[in-house]
Amino acid sequence: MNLERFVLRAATPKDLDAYERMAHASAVGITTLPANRSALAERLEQSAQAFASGDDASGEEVYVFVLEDLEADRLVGTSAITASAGFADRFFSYRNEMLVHASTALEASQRIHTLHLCHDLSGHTLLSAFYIEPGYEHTLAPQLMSRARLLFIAEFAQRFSDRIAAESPGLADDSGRCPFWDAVGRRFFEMDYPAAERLAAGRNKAFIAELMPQAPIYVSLLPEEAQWAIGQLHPVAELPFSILIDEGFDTETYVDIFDGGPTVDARVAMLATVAGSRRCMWGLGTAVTPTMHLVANTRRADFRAVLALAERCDGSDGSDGKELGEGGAIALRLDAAAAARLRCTSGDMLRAAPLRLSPLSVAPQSVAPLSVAPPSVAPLSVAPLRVVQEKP
Amino acid sequence: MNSHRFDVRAETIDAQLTRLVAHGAHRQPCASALLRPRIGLAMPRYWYHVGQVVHAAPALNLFRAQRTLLLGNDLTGMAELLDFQDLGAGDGDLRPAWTRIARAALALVAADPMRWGGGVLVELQGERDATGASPFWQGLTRHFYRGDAQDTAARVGPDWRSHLAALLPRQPVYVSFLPEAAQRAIGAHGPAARTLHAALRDAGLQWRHHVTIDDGAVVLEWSDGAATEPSPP
Repeated sequence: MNLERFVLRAATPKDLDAYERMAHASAVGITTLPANRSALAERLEQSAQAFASGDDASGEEVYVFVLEDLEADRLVGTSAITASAGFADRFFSYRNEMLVHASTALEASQRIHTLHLCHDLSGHTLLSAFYIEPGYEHTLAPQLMSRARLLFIAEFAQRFSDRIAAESPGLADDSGRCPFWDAVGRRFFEMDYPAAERLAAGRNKAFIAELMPQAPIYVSLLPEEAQWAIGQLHPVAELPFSILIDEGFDTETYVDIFDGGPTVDARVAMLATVAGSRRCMWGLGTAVTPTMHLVANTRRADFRAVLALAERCDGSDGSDGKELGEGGAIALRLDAAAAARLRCTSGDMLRAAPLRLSPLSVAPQSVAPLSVAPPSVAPLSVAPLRVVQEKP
Repeated sequence: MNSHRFDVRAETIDAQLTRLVAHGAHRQPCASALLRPRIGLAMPRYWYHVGQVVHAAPALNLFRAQRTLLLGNDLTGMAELLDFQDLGAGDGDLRPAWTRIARAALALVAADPMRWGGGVLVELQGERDATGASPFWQGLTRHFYRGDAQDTAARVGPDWRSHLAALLPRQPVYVSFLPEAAQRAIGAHGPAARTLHAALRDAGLQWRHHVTIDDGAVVLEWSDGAATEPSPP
């Protein structure tokens, strides 16, 4: 699929119809995309304010992005950033801890795995609500959807924490049976997982968390099926999860208190896209050795990002005659079509990071190399909507 | 229940143990037990305290009381009555004989708490399933120590449970995470302990929410009113 058909941009209230369509495809486990038009409208409104406001960030902001297929002239995906997890309250997770109990007299030692209810991730920036239509899973579009958020965070770092996290849905089947919930939460709520999610959706999640066991949970006491579910992904989340792992998120420490799904965390500065990104000035011109880049404009309210072949001329070796941009800025050679998608004009500043994919982070039926004519994907119109997401 | 027809005599065995023997109407010894003063001071002793936490949310019409087990040394410094024996010369009814022994022990301790400790406890044998296994051990202890209780007791000696405690959960355990059979065994006693349990209740010992760490069995307690305030052992 032609990369030039995609642009990721800040959502606007006008996107409500498409946003609602995507939300209705919700699977169990999503509470940031309620299938409720007024709640979605409110969310888009809140997001538009967050993008538009020049005030100091309060941490309450949610930034919603949408992926536009320019050829099909429709929205095909969405992702979001929550500025501060658990804003105005706490953000609950279970933290994996290992103890070794030992007795020399009994000549025995035992590795003990416990889950500790904690608020470690409160205040972290949270990547959330990742959704893409299944027909686009095998393109590079999910890479753009997930990683370009990090360019936004890098560009407007003062609005975000220097630590970041993302939840992924854990194991649950279509009927809502969830092994981790059934072994843990259910003992305290006497309701099934979808009912608990519905309850949580309308309320502060911390309210629910306070009803959960406050003492550490000894994992060995849980049924085997539940033990196995700790840190396991729902299959629909494999792609967005693998992108996060490829970025450098750590998956060992935290799991979701409801479904046991992995909650990944990282220092923002250590993530591949953030660490590899530079502010550049757009320079028109034919790149000599172009490589795939994530490129974003540096406008907050009209944020746009694309994938494009580009070349960064930072003049570091000074030997190949690549000129620097005006004022000594790094220049980015990018063709006019890509610049148009970014709505940038000559002299505009861009933020760009090379896209280096590990095989792990690409959907199984892998895209062809990032070259001229990638294969076309399955028909877009008939594919049912499917949610691939990080949870709120 | 007439236990007055038994006469209890105390025999000092050593600095740690005193034997209490109940004699019947014809002065024949018919039952005995050992009394040990101020336990847990040389080698720590452990019990679970059975507590309760309430998770309530009026807005959700939710009210859940949960039992918890918390490992601790709560009963350190008390006297322990143990090793109740049927000496076989009685009239076949042990319950009044053991009640008499327990009462004698309580009287001894009450008369000299500095020597004996602030109260008396008795650990009973816990529930067993049809195969003779302890459901509590199967449901909880086994996950923290893979050995067998009897083998370990034989190998390590009478203090084996003090060592076992090093392997057990240090944080409160929600009872609802345990299998049903293990939950039922908490604070229960096995059929073998039925008569002793009744005898000790007759003597005024009560369950005060402590259970043994190996099989979750009831620990019956009595303490002198004055000695129930927290104080250093």
